[in-house]
Amino acid sequence: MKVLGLLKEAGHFLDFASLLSSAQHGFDTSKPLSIPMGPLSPINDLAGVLIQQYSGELDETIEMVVQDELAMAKEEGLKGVQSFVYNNSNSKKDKYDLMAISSETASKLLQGEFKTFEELRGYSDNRIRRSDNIEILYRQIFNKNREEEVYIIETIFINE
Amino acid sequence: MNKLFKIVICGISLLLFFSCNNNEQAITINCDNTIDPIIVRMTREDNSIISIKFPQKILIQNNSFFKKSFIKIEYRYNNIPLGRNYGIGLYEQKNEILVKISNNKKKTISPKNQLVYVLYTSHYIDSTKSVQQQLKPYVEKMLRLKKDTLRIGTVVEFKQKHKELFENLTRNDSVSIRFLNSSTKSGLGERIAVPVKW
Repeated sequence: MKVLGLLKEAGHFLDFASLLSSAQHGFDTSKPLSIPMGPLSPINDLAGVLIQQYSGELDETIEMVVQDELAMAKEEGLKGVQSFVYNNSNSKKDKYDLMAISSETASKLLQGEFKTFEELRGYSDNRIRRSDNIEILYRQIFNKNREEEVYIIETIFINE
Repeated sequence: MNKLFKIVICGISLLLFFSCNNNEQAITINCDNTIDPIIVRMTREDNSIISIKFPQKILIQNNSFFKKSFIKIEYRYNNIPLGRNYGIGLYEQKNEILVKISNNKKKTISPKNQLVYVLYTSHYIDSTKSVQQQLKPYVEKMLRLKKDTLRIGTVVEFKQKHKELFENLTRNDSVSIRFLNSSTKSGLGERIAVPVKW
């Protein structure tokens, strides 16, 4: 979990980030943080070059950390996931979000009546009610080969 | 000889100055007003307004000599509750008619060209009395017409009538586009974000 606090990828190089601010921002990995190093700045750049080759592995580590965090949040139920999404909404790689839908929409979803996530979202938007009591936790990932955003429904919370 | 040397140096520095002074960004995103109507939706649960859709024109200009592509336009809501983000509706204007298009398909801007879209937001409205009181005339009209949605005036008109409400709903909202870049591992390049201007 502390990996996130130590190193942070910003563009093509890795930036040093303090443990403290990482704790403040939860898992918000999108905000670049850098420590002004004054005359030592060139060393900072050099470190970036050296570390670059490890960034792939680091990405995987971050991904695993986020997955672990999510698994823990799920155990706490909807409340836990809400705070996870809230802290993770700016996450660099994956974007998690919740969406409220009605039970009728949920049954349509389970019967496979929506071809795309966009369709599901538009349908819910056009039938929005205050009593929409089912929450969908989903994740967006960009798929390079398909050249589109892929939406993954992680969990459906029945919130009676 | 010395003079000639000076002239050459001056010439080179001038050239450098002009070539480096080209600060124009490769892509610019601009928001503009549109005369398309706002759409309000009511819920029969408590006969209150539950969502307001504001139209906004988006102009994406490619200033570079290379074509640029992206997948979707993202609208970031800052003032709606968690779980109430239903994205946006994306439209293209064709012969005075708005045609809905997918916000998850590749869109390409040719060099020195621009793409124009109209997006409709979906702002969730809570059941607070002070808010609903202002919107009551629309609810009454919908009840009269036996409809769940109503097209009301333009954003400019709404801003005049319900200034505070409009500002509370749209404060700090922004539009962003992540451009594709085939040379990166993820396939994604830079993200350009602009605050929404109404």
